[in-house]
Amino acid sequence: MYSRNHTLTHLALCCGLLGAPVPASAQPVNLVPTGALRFTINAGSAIAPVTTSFAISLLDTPQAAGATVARINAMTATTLTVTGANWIAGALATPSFPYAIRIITGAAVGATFPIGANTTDTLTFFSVDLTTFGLVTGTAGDSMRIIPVDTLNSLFGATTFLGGTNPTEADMITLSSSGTQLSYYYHTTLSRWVRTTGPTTDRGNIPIPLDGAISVTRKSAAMTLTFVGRVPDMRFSVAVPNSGPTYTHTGFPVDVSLGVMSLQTALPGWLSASTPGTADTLSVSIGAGWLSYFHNGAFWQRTTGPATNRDAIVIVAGTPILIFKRGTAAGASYFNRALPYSF
Amino acid sequence: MKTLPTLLVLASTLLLSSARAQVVLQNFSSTVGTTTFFHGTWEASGDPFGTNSPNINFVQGAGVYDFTGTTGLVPTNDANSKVEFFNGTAVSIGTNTFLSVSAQMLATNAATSFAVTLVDTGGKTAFSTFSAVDFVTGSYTTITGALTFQAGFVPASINSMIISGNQSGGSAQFNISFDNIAATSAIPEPGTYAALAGAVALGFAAWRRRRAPRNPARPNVT
Repeated sequence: MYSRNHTLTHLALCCGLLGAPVPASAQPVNLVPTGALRFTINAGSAIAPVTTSFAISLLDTPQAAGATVARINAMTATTLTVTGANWIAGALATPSFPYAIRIITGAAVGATFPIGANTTDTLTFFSVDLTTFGLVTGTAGDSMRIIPVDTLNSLFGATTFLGGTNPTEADMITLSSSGTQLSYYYHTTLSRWVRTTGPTTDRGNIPIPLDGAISVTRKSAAMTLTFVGRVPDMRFSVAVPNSGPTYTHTGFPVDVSLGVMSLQTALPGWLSASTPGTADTLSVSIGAGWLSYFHNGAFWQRTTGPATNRDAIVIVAGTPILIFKRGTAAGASYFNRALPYSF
Repeated sequence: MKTLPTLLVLASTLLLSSARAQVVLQNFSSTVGTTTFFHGTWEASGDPFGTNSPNINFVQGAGVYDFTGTTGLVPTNDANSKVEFFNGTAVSIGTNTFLSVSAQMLATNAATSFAVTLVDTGGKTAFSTFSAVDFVTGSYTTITGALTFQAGFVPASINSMIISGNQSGGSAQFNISFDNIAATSAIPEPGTYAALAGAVALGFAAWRRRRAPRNPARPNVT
């Protein structure tokens, strides 16, 4: 659930209400529908933990002051300027309440960049070269939308999951983003989120990846999580490194089959091959594990077992996927999916 | 008369600036410690959260660390087999956009690649993937690879570095010896050093010519 309002967040989490009614005063008026994703987190125990993985393709509505949808007036490789945006300096890059932008028009529609710093009219970004996205600036330039990004603290707080003094007894939350999986748990003595590995540094401000996946390794009773947010209303676009793994999702809160998603054509440089050992692979989450497929040039098939056509296999809404690109090439390509529905 | 000093200053400036730009992230002189966590087949036991205890076959050498072992607990190239080095204080790689790895493939290695990933304090990452075959057996080779950055990664705030086997479910034997990993500003092409050496040699020759007497055969007149 992408919401700045903790009360609303935990009301829906605790009650598990699909499409829980929210006060009109808490939601800005917009024409994009609000949807809900509901996930059942399977029961487990410390001895036999059970992992459930999911991905959230809904978005929150920004609560920060200033322009939330704006045309880009000027840019550099790492900054975008919106004249008269009237943002509060630093407010969009506060670690406890981070924001990102999503490009909503033009060649880069769907591209999303976390905000690293901001003044009243300029946003600064890290580790990205904005000049490579074909952005147009000026009076007829491209537009962007400010998107809030939840954190472990803001989304889950201290009580959503089972805490503990070590990762063996506590529920473990794994955030998978780009090619890395990092795991956390709520430390009940230290009263903060910490990594399952390494120093017990406060990790409560770790952002929940917008294009990534979440896994819950549960050591208690089953629970239901319901996330409410804006339904995506534009193309899904995620950077996929040209080598190694990428944890992401299908972009929209609707089911899609392997054949319809057509990753082999939607992701430039996809390597189809007659054997899985030489092909790029697409894996679909099944809790703690994955079912892997490759494209043999004609259709999708499992990496193990008979060469059955699996194009009709459905990836259920909210299911994480793992893309694995062979080789050692640097850089990234963009997996773009057109909006699969209309309003 | 100023040719040689000028060229030497130029060459040393270039080399020194290259040296200054490099940020050593791990020199493997004391690999195992309380801030180093091994996972999967790279750890001594099956702790799912990783431990400070490496695979019992791993060997600490003088400034190098061997991920070795062909019997017993054999290290593999599974992506979940990894080692993570935490920094006590966040490290900055400055404007560097490459990683250089000095390593050698041990004779028993069957893994084809490995990945080195930098994790910032916000959980964002940047990584380079390396082909094992580029690291010849018998001597240490330095290979430089471009970092692929996740948008939002903060280069001034590196919290940890992960070396991983890179293959999902990989079972190939991972036997590689590491000497050094550093963030660098560019790929040091061998031709660059050859050009510098040539320039220095030419400058030295010119300097020698200018220092030599115009007519060494002419006797001094007093």
